[in-house]
Amino acid sequence: MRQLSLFLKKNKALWAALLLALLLESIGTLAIPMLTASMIDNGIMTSDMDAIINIGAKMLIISLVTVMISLSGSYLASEFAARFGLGLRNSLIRKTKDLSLADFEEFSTASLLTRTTMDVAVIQRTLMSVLQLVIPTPMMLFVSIVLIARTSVTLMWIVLIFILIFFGISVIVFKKSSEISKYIQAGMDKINAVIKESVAGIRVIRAFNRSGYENKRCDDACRSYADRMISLNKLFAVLNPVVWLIMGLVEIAVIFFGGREILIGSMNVGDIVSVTEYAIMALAYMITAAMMVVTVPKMQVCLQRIQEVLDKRPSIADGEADRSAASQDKPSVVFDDVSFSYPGAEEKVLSHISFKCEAGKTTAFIGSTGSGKSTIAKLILRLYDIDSGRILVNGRDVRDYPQSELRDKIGYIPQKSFLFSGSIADNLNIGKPDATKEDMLRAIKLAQADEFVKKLPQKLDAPSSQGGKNFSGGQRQRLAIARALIKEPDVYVFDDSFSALDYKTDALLRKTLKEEIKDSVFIIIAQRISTIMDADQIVVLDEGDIAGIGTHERLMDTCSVYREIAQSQLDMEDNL
Amino acid sequence: MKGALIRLLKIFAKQKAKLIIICISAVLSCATYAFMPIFSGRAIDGVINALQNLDSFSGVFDALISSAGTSLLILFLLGLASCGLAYLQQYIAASAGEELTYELRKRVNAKLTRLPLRYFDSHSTGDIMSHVTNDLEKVSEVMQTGLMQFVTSIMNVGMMIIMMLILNPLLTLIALTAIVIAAIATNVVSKKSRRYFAENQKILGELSAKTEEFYSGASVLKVFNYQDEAIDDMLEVSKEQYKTVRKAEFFNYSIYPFIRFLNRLGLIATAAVGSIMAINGVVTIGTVSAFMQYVNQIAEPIAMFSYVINSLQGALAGAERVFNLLDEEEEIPDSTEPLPDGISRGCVRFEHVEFGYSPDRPLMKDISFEVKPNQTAAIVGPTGGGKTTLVNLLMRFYEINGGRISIDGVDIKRLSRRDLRGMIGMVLQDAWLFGGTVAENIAYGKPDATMEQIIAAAKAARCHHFIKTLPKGYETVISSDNPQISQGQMQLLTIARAMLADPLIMILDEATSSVDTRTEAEIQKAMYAAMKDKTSFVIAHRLSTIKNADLILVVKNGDIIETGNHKSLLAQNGFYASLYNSQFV
Repeated sequence: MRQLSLFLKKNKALWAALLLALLLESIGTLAIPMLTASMIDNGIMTSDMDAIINIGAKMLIISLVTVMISLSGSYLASEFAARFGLGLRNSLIRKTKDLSLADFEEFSTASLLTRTTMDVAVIQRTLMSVLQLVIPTPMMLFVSIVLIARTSVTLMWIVLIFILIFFGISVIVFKKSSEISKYIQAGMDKINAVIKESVAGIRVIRAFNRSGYENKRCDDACRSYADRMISLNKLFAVLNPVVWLIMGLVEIAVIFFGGREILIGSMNVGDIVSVTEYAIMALAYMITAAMMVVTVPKMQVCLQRIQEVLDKRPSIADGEADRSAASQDKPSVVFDDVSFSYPGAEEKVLSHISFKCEAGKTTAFIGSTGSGKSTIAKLILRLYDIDSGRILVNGRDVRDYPQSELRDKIGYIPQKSFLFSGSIADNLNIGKPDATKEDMLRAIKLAQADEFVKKLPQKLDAPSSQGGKNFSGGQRQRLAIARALIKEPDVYVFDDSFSALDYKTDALLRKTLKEEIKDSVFIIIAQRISTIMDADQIVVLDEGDIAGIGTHERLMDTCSVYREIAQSQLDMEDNL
Repeated sequence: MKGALIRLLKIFAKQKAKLIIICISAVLSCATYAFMPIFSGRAIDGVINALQNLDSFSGVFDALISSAGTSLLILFLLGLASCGLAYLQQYIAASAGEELTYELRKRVNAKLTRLPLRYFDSHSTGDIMSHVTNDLEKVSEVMQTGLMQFVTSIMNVGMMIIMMLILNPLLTLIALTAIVIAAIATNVVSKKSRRYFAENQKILGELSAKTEEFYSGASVLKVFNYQDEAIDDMLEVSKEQYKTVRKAEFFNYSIYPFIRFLNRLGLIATAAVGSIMAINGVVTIGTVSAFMQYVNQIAEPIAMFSYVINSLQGALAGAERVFNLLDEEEEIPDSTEPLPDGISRGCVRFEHVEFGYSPDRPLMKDISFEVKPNQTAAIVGPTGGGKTTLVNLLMRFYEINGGRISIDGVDIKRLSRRDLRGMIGMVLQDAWLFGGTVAENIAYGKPDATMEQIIAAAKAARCHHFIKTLPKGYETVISSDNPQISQGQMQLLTIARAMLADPLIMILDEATSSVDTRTEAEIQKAMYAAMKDKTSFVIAHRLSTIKNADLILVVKNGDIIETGNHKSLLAQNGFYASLYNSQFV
């Protein structure tokens, strides 16, 4: 809701114009019954033909003006709703720049997506209906009560009482319904979940002969949903008949009590018609408004969810830009007594880790899942901040860099390579926006991707679908490597990037990199012993501790964890 | 579309009693409602009458009651009756529509158990889910609000027009002309609004795709300092949606001022002409007032007529999709023969098997091989080469086009699917777990298993230890969406699940791409335990498994191109040999 009040403050003119349009619209709408009354009293009762035509013309003009005002009201409302949504969405998009990956994970990509698209759409739609159907209601009520009071205070009280009765009934119905609605949403989620399971798990279900059981689960979910829907529908079944009854009662009361006023001479015959009409209009507006008000809590939830993201304090802050110190140092990465635990986790992923990676050398990390090896890559990139110790890149603490400057120095190849929709060249441009065709060809050749790229009919301009799903895992991985190579960074971080490659390409790629790039730091995180066997330095991680550092030969002699990993893999590959 | 409506109504007709009550109460409620303006008009005339003859009454209330009292009383009774009947109608309709939807959901659920697997290959889970949820939700809407309201408003309009005709045909003609013009104009506007709404949906889809990419690639964008460019792109698309949503919403709501304006034209015409008639004494003031009420009440339903029909059509399209699903071809019915004796050893034989996922694209043309009891067959081949096809045929997930598959000499077609699948244990790569406890998941294939049996299977599949470390042990609730356990642990559980069922034949999938080395070794050991003393088929990646297999089936492009053992295949120097050399050397 805070976003809304901010928006109102910023767009005062729009808001004021909209309110004015809505007010004029309700006055114009209610002017018609007033003129009808006048037509009866000044036309029919006095047999004045001219007056009838005169008043009829007035009605026509007022209707015409009112429709113009209504249309401009609709336009202003649509501008209001659309612009508010745009502002929310754009703030969300811009906010992503400040959020760290940990923040992303906290919200989850899927949820951020819903917030940016569906939630904003819900807000726009709801806001529109509120502006068009809810906001005018109090105005209509106010104007009609004033008009009735002008005719007769007694009638005003009568109409007011009926309006209050209706208001009370709808509050009760909608309050009850909102309780049921909650269960209904949950029931729909349940149906979704069981159907998803029974479709996605269909092979297993059939293999284990459990179709009957799953079928019953689905039926049960549908049955309980149906029962809740029925009770909601039954609740709402009260609403329309009650409105009709109240409208009828208002009419009877107005004719009876209004009739008395006519007989004692304090009111005209036409006023019965107009007062009845005012009351019916007020009730009709109220019932539409009531229907719309139900959607407001859902909009509030959506707004709340967006606010959550906007309020998120980025967990990582930029360091000061300091150009003088950094550039002269030779590329290096140093971990100095680093301890780290993921936000909210109790156990440390890394505890007191120290090592040094030098330019021109390859440092490899190995260890089982949960040993913390992938965390190392994320910490070098400063996707998370460490609990204690220091991480130095080119001799400077990562926290002292502006994030963009730090990441300029690093070429990162993630475990799950992700390409963007566009062409291969577009994807390489992400690594180096001003890359020439030669740069690209060189990077592709180094990454061992030239062979398959050359076979593509459009070569570098060949399209990549979202995520790069039109390429095989190995091809995608090689393109991701090319994207990092074209950047020519000081530090390369291969985060388990070789596992999608076959052994042959893996070996060839490592050989080429070693020959072609001599003064960068190479950091390889891997599962396969064969990938890291010839590294200058292997760091063996075991549950967050360093179990050993050294070359393959040394570790085979001294490190039992390493030996165990090596043994199990070499067993599998037998005679290798 | 028409067919869908008729089918829907046929299913609906099952709730005969309810429908009859709904119809009767709807007709009566509409009729009573249609009479109300006449009596309110008479009451007003009564008041005027009293005003003109005030002297002949003893007091104001006396005058009112004797000249308008009867009309007001009838008005009150009509209002009460109409309200009661409408409530009865809506109360019963409240369950009728939902029961219909439930019936359809039930049919779809049952249908899902009878559809061949082929159907699930060509339809995404999301699509199938949306039939059960979205499409049927729309059907429920059609029945609940659409059809019910539609039918009652037709009845209302019809009866009110009759009333108007009885009151004054000329005035009726004038009012109706104005209303029909209104209806045509509304139709034009609503067409436009629908077009912009479709456009809005499209843009929203584009925005969604773009946003998804933006978020899922966030880490890459960050690492490559490419966020600013990507954000600019996003803002561009965002602005597009702003423009279309503004247009769509504007046209959506501009219908209402239009309708109101055109109604008012009808009203003004009625008022003016009626007033002139009243001066000439053709009609009373009460009649004019009643007329105006009628015009007010029928104008909107008539103007919205085409609009409502359109939304009904949209909903019927949903019903049609559901009926299409219900009409899908089902699996060939099971054999009704009793289970033949003598299946106890697990000798699997393929004889001249022909198969293709679609008849026009045959994959296997003439496949024959035999796996003897307790032997292991390794299925080897490049990724995406169709290694699971063999499994699909053996489990009879798909029907073969020719030849014969037998177990211990009995054609699997002579077995019921239930019996066949009971003989085979399957551990697939997509280690699918169900929402439920760990114990329930292990006992999935044998729901009556005792806790001891479950634990024994877990121990054999080497997952007892990690289950013990879970917060609630065997009672820990897991679900496929929010697993508390790793991919490797899931695979161990699925092995335990297959072992507990203790089948004659075991089918295993070795693929363990996302599992670390140690867990991988555990899985390997569990698999060996599961294969012990059983005829087994292994989709194999590990050289040791392949080398130790009694039979290697080399699969490429869905077909078995070579069979033999490691040595004989290497000696053949064919595809297996080249695969072996590229993968392992």
